[in-house]
Amino acid sequence: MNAIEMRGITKIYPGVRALDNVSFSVEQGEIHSLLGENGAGKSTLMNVLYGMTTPDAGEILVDGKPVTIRRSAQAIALGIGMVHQHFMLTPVMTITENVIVGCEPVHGPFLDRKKATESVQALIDKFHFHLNASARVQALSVGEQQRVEILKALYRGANVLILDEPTAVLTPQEVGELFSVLRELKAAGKSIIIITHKLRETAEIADRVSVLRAGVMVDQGLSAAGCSASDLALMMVGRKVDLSYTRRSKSVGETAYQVQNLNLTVKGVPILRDVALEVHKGEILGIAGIEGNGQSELIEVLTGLRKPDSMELVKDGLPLSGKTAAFLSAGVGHIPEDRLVRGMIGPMTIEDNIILGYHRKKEFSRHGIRRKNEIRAFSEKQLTDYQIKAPNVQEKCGSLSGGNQQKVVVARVFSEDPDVLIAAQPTRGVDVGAQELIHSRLLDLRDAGKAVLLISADLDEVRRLSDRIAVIYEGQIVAQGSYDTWNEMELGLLMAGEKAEKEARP
Amino acid sequence: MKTFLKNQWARLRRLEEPVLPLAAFLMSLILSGIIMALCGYNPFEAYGAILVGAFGSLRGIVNTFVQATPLIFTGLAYTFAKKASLINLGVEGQMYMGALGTALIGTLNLGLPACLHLPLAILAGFLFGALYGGIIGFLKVRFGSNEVVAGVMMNTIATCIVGYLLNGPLLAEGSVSAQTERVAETAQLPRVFSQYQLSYAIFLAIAACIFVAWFLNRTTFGYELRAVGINAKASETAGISIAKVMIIAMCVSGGIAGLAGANQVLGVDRRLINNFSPGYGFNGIAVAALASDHPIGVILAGTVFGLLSTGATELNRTTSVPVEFVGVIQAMVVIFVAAPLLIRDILHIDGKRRNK
Amino acid sequence: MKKFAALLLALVMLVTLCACGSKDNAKNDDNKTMKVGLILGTGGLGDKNFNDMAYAGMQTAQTELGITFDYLEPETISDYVPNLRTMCEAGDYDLIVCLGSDMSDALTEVAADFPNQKFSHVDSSLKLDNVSAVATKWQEQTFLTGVLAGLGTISDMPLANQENVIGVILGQENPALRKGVVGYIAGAKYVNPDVTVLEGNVDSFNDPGKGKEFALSMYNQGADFIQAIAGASGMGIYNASVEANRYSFGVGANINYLEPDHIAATAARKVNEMVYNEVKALVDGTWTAGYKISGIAEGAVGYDASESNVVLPENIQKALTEIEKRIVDGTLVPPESMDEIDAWVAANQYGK
Repeated sequence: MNAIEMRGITKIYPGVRALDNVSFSVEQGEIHSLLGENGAGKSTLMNVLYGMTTPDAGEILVDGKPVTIRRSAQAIALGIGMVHQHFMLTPVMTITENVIVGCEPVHGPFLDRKKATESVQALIDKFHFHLNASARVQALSVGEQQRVEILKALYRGANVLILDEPTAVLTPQEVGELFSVLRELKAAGKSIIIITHKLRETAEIADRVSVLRAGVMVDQGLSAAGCSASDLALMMVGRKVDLSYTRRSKSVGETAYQVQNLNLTVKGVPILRDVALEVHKGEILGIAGIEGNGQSELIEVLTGLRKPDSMELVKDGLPLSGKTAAFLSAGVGHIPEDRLVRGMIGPMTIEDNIILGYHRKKEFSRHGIRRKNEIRAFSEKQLTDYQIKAPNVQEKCGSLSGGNQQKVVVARVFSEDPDVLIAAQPTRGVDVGAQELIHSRLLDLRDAGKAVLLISADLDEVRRLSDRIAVIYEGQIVAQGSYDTWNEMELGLLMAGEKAEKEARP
Repeated sequence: MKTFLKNQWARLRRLEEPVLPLAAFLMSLILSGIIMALCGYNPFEAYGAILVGAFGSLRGIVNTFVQATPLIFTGLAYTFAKKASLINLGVEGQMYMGALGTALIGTLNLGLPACLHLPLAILAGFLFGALYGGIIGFLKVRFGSNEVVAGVMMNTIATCIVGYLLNGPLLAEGSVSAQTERVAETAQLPRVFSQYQLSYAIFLAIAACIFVAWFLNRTTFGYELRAVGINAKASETAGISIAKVMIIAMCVSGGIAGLAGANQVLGVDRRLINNFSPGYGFNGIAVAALASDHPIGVILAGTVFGLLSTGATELNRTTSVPVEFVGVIQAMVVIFVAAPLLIRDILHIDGKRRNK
Repeated sequence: MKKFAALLLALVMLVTLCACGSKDNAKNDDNKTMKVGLILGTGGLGDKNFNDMAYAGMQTAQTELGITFDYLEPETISDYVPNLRTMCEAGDYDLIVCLGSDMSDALTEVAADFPNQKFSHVDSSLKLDNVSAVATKWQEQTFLTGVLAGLGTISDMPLANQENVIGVILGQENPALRKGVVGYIAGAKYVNPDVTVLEGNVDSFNDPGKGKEFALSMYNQGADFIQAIAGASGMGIYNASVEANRYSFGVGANINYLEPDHIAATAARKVNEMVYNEVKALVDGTWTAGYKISGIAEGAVGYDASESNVVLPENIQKALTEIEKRIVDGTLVPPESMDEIDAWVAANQYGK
């Protein structure tokens, strides 16, 4: 009998099917890895199970009995516990105090502190958590704090434990410690669900794997031992690539953008290691890789948003440095990977957004005063050129659909005719029509002799558009070659960290 | 037709902005009335006295604007910083420093004609406030200190500095209370009616609001400021220097607060008096909230608060209702309008929930 | 839109109701009753001193003289002018009583615009045609506590010591308070020409901690009576007298009840009587403008030992009564400045 069974779960957000008829089950006493890219719907599915999101359709069975979970309290009562990525602990209080909050043992009207400490310490010892129940949380390492979060769930009688990206915040040693804790829990008969996009960890700890992709369960309950990392990678990023509508570069020119010796360390953890890339005129260089392998940081470094430890960056033979403004005026265009965070300002109008970053150019600003009419005319032209569906240019950008928002971002960057374009996730979360338009504009730009660096979690997109492909794994470029060097299986292996079997062709 | 309807709908939704504070204001009047009734006072008598006090005579109307002038300045100061998503709780201190700067220049006998001396004194007020506000911006940008905490601390420092100077080096000769000499004739803001304290600063205040509204909408810097205020990361990606925008925003905000002090020194008291402010800086936050952080709305909201405190005098004089109830009304307005907004600002809750 | 309309309607109704309300409640003025306005200082009611005393004087006048009165509490000094104008323009006040020397500027400005309005200004040095400027003689206010200290320090009072030393502590060096020091020294030397008077200046009216330090140091140097003239800093002085087990004197409103075993008396100033006397003069028809300074004879200032548990020897009590009588009948006039003290003491000695 399954500890948890979810059947036909569907969740629709305005314009997006976050979960589409998803079924998922977890057995008693197993570690189950729920794999998927960011935005694939993993967290939504688990939030449904934990009562934080109400599904539009579907049913949940706990120990074979159908249940309704509308609030977290109900989930907890059913023995489901969740450890969020961001801990919810009070640093100045002790482990015991943090663990018992909300269900304190009492002695008359008073808190029975002794009993509380004893019971929490007993729990710690039972699972070999190696903690002191009286220690203050602020003195603990991140890994220890995570164990306190797990304790909280166990103290409330959790039988099924959901861990959201548990290794994202941990050092490699702490990951090892976490895994041994998880094995203890499994030995005690607990079921554990790990939300992750890391293949290696899945292989190391999970008994079974389920893969979500764009709200659809690609495969469910596979034995982890029975599938290779490259299979999983392909399942996550897709494999049905239609190469029919694309075209490759006809004439590759000289080097436009060259980065060498790029190293970046964040809080002691190396994120990018000896990265060297060069993009030529009239070429699209695609970066393939599972998300979280340093792509975001690479984009930030290459657009002046983040200062690396070391880097030699050359654009058209001249060294480039400084802040973002310098990169923009040097003709380095940037389509940010998350338009809601870096790409646009939702509460501002389309015309305000479509000049963002170029608002100080003399077409749009004279003596520090905005040229209202010119901005209006420019925006209206872009609205037509990029088929942005909006009532007028004074509509708030945030009220547009994802595809139209992205078209605003793309229109802004393309209208500047950049020499070098850093295009990150250019079609994430947009409809098919917008995707086609953006793809063809990217190819047009390339054909006009510009250099494009494409960073995308969508392997189909990378394979379809790129003239050359580089694979990034754990902050290193592990392979570089022409678009047809590898087939999808081989790319999947490279993305999963396997050694390249054949040498890259130039 | 569809587009037209959509536009109309958008317009209607925009209307909600002034409706919400108005509703909150009415609710605070009603609730304060209920409290008064529960305490055994007649709320109609009280509101009647306030209205008569504020509108019953030329003096009432004039005093409403006398009280409104500093509140418009401080409300505008808060609003300006707010547009860059900065909570400037240091308005009170910046106003004191502005008053100090104005008094330093204003009390000097420079032998300048009024057309030079007066603007110079006002400018000094703006600059002192701007520098003082800029310090908070600098601390935030350079050391990551929270501008709310820094602002509150800087208030204390400002009142202490001014208090010290007024009890010592700047104390007027033979004066019993802590105050400077009278401001030179050439630096005094002319009064609209000779017998009342209302000076032409009220027009400066209104003009400042209109200017700020224009500035935010029509200048490139105003645009950058709004962009940083709404989405700092997107602004950074667009090459806007967030540090620069924040420091300048705090400077301008402090400068506007300094003008409130300049008005008090040059127009109202004609000298710098210790503890001249009954909390104009903090009431400015309530004004800004009532105005929904709109520069033009600040003119109206400041007038409403001016009306309340002017009406308070009449309430105090002619009824048995304790004048503290005016404070209750103002506090209610703050609770209904400002507090939820403030809490939202301080916690930076943006209500966005996104799927990983 | 409906909501908006409803809100507007509610606002209109509220305004209408308020307007009606105010008419219904308009006060009916009886022409025969005198009406007096009172403008308090910025401290406002509840200060247990100046403002509260003035208010109490008004209340007494209301019950005893049958007047009515309204009062205003200015928040800041900037409010003085508009508050004065509010009362003046109302036009139905027979007298407006103003408190505190910091209102001088405002009153000068407004009094000129309303030449027919009568004002009484407490703590004033204004000389205006329509202002009755009432001030008190500081030197008389502290003279009798000085006498008590001068005799007490050489008496066998239980908390007095052997040394012939007393003290006085100021809150700020200013001409008015200086006169208080002069009165205290003169009073002490009038009865005890060899007494040493220690002086201290806290330089704050609101620093009890520092006040206490000053007082403790003086008690250490042999003082057994200390006169506080230091506002709220005095709280520290009274506290020190308990700690050192010596005597102290209050100033202004009677605060003997605070430490009844150690505060022997208060150099009192009866603001309530000053205010009452002004109103009474108005009712009697004897009110006149001009500068009037009052002292012990007028009952405005003096020595107040009520609510103190300190028992005075008979000879001291007798001396105090006699000396007070001499001041009242004008045979004894205390000096006003430090320079005069020596000559004055040489010329005036109690019992000689």
